[in-house]
Amino acid sequence: MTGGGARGTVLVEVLVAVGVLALVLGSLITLQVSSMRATRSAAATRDLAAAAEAEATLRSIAVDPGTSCLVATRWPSVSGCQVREACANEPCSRQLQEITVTGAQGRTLAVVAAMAGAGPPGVGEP
Amino acid sequence: MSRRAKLGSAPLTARGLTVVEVLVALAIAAIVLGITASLLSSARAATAAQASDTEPARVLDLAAEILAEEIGLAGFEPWQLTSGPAEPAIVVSHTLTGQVLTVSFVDDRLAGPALDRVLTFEASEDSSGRPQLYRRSGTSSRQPVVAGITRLAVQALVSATGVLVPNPPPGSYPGVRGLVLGLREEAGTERLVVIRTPSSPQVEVR
Repeated sequence: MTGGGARGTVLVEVLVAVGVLALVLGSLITLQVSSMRATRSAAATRDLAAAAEAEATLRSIAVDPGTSCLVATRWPSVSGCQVREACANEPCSRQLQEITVTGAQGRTLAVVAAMAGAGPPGVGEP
Repeated sequence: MSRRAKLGSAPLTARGLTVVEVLVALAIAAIVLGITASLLSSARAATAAQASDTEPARVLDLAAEILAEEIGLAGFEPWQLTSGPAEPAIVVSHTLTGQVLTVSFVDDRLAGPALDRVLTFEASEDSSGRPQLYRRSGTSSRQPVVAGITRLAVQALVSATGVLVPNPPPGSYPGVRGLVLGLREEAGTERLVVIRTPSSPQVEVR
């Protein structure tokens, strides 16, 4: 074994290898950080969804619950909650409610549910 | 012709690394590895912190799911083929650590004949002092189902007329549409669970 194949490595090659290693490790750490950020974001969204779902469930069985939130604001991660009522059809035989919960960093999540006493789908429709 | 001249026409390109070059490369590698190690260490610490942040929510989610599934069946009787669930279908009793919920329903979720089921849920400590959410079926011994739950209590109920009754005083409530349970985890995190009771069971608060 003689000639260029046995000449060993030069400094530039070593530096390139170290650079590639640094890039790979940096990429792994970036992935880890973005994964943690996504996990945190998913947890926040799940929390908001749980609050909105609980609010919607309670309002769907309570009669005349008003327009202020009943339970969603009891979630620590929920900073705001709004309820908007709307008619599902023209004679307004079915009423819907849109519950919008706001969490940290302005994240919002809305759930639409039928109100208590609302008939099954199709009732009151022409 | 000398031996050196025979081995290669470019002796400078085959010289390998000098000690200085190796030391420089090692120093750079050490710096890179040091930075990486510190980043990994902080990433691990952040992961552990995140896990401890999300653990209470996970515990409460699990407890809420179990309670919602089985308490939501209170008073259920599918075909009236059995003697039916006991009345009242939900009994709320007070203890030092919160409340005990006893739920009766006819269970047809499994293969085989439907069973009259009486389940009791309570938050209590085990023999090692760790808080647990316990579930007892009938007269059998209680089984821990979720670790870390320190309190279980009925925060409100929705009466047959759809009125929300917060902290329901002792009494009998027929045709209850739903319950709002409060759960607390050992880290102090609290969570409400809203449970629909489609069978409109009678609830007795003692």
